[in-house]
Amino acid sequence: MPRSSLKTWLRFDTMVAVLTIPIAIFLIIVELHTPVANIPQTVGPAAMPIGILVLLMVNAIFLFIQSTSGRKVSASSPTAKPEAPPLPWVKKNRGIILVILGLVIYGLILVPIGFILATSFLIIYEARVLQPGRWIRNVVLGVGSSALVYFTFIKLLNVMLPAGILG
Amino acid sequence: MDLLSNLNLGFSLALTWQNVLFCFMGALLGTILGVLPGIGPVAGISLLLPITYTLNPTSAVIMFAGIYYGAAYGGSTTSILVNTPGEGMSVITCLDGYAMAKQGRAKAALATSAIGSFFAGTLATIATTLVAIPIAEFALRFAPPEFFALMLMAMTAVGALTAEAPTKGLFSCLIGLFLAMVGMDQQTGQVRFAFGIADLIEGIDFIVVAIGLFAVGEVLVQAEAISQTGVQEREHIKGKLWISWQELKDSFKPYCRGTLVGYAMGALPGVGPTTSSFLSYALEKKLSKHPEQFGKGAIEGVASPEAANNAAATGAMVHLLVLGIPGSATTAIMLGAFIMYGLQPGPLLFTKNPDFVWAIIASMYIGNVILLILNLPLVNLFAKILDLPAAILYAMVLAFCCMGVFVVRFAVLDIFLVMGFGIMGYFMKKHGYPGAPLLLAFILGDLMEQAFRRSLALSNGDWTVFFTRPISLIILIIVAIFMALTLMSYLRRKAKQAGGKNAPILS
Repeated sequence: MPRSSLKTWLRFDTMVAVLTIPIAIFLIIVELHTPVANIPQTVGPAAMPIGILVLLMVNAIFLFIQSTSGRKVSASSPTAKPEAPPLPWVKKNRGIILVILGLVIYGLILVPIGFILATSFLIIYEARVLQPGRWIRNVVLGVGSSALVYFTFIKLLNVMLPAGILG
Repeated sequence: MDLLSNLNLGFSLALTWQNVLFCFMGALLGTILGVLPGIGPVAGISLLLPITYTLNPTSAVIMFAGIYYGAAYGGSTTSILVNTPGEGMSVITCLDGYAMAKQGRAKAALATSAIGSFFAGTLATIATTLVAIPIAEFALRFAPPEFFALMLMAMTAVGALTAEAPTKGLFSCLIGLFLAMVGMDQQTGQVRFAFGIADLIEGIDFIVVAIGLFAVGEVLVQAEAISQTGVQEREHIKGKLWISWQELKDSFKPYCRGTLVGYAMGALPGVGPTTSSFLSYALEKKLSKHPEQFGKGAIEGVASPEAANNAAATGAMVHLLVLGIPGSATTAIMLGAFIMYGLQPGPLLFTKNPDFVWAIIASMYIGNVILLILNLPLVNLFAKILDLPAAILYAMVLAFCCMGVFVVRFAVLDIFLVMGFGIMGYFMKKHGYPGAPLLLAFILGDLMEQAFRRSLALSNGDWTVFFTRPISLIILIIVAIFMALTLMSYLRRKAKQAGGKNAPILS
């Protein structure tokens, strides 16, 4: 495949449009195969979701046409700047990937190790990812705010949070 | 007089010390959230919702309303001092506000913005007080087909107006509607698209969607900005004099025009505070005797859009209270809060819960006074928020997001869902897909489906019911005309761009 057409296909809008159609078809099939409750209804529970999915497919077709037809315009645009050499995807998005990784770890450890430890970890980790250094400040603020929130919830709002290994 | 007794009832409730305290807390939090770039009223209200379950609904909604218009006040501070809008609605204030700050007139810019916001907020509240009952009485004639058509109008307007291309806005809208279908159908109990996951049977909580898109997604965008460009320096507030008499005189007419444009536009779904501030700026520039000064520190360029965005924020509350149909992401999240508290906004709210509605309206008068006090003498303090280390601040926001969704129903799945919506929000923001239509459609989805099915049940399955009822037909014609106009304007813009001419933002 020539490089320029590969680039068009890798465009976000094109990918969204192309992925939407099979996903929507799959969801329509799922909905059509869901057993229907035996309650007399003028319009059943499948009508609206199927209608939305059909409209979503129509919208995806328009999105596809729009994203692929815009290619020539942007390529020939006189104001277009010469592109900088592309960075590897992972390197370019390192910050975001590490932030998300922190959230995934938080989801996995929250219940086993408890709110205070998990939240302290999350704050310290994310602050470190966003701005290197300042360890002492981050640890003090991370642990302090997690403990403060934990006791506020438990004592003032009567909301239980996972105590984990500290409980 | 009825109106006076209603207002009297409202003030008697809004002036209790608890409600004044909640109004103050809302205004304060709103200002802080407005000042912080990226984090706005939607994120703030959604983060507070889980911990306000136990509060009295009137106090909670007074606080949320305070957050909403407080953010409109606070957003301008960041626009003026950092040249980065604290809120979408303060984007245009950057142009002349930052130019004024560069010239050492930051105090005058901040003052005209706060006074304009107060002026517009108060006038808009008076207008709301006057129009609410007549509109509610008219809306009593609405049956399910009319509500369905109105919701369709709100969604298409928000979808088409908030995106760079109508297809992207409508795509967001449809995704929101689809997500609203996940979980148990209210009428038949049939479970849809849960794929055997027990936590999805009840559906996806709107707090998860709102926090994911508007808090986690925004933090990811900010995280990228911080890692690429570092934290931006801000201008400092210098000088003794807040605003000269001449500057105040120059601001007065723009305040009035901004209020009018803002209120009229704010009352339309989808237009909201951001668009109305752009429109009022364009109008002011057109009417000005020295349009060449705009962008170089013209006080009118700050006064009018700031008045407009506050008037629009108040105007947008009208639909929410009177019709139960939100016109923006923030009012959508407030609708979610109403439903959570067991209140059904709409024309009947005025007869069923007059104390609630009038207390909210009365609290807006009080909130505007509190905000003027907070934003004039204390603006220096709020500006200091911008000096806080962004890394730890955003790290804490992420932690609060996870905690906020977890405490809703103690499901770890929600933490992963909020992450998923956060990633989705990040990509949407980067590629021009607006988050507001998705959230609005998600919150309205269920109500819209009910209205749709009830309409067809009323007509025994006759699909023409939406076109044979005059009010519903008029609304649908408006939707069609609006869609045609949006599409035409988009195609014209595209053609202009293809011709090498970039259409100016305010054309």
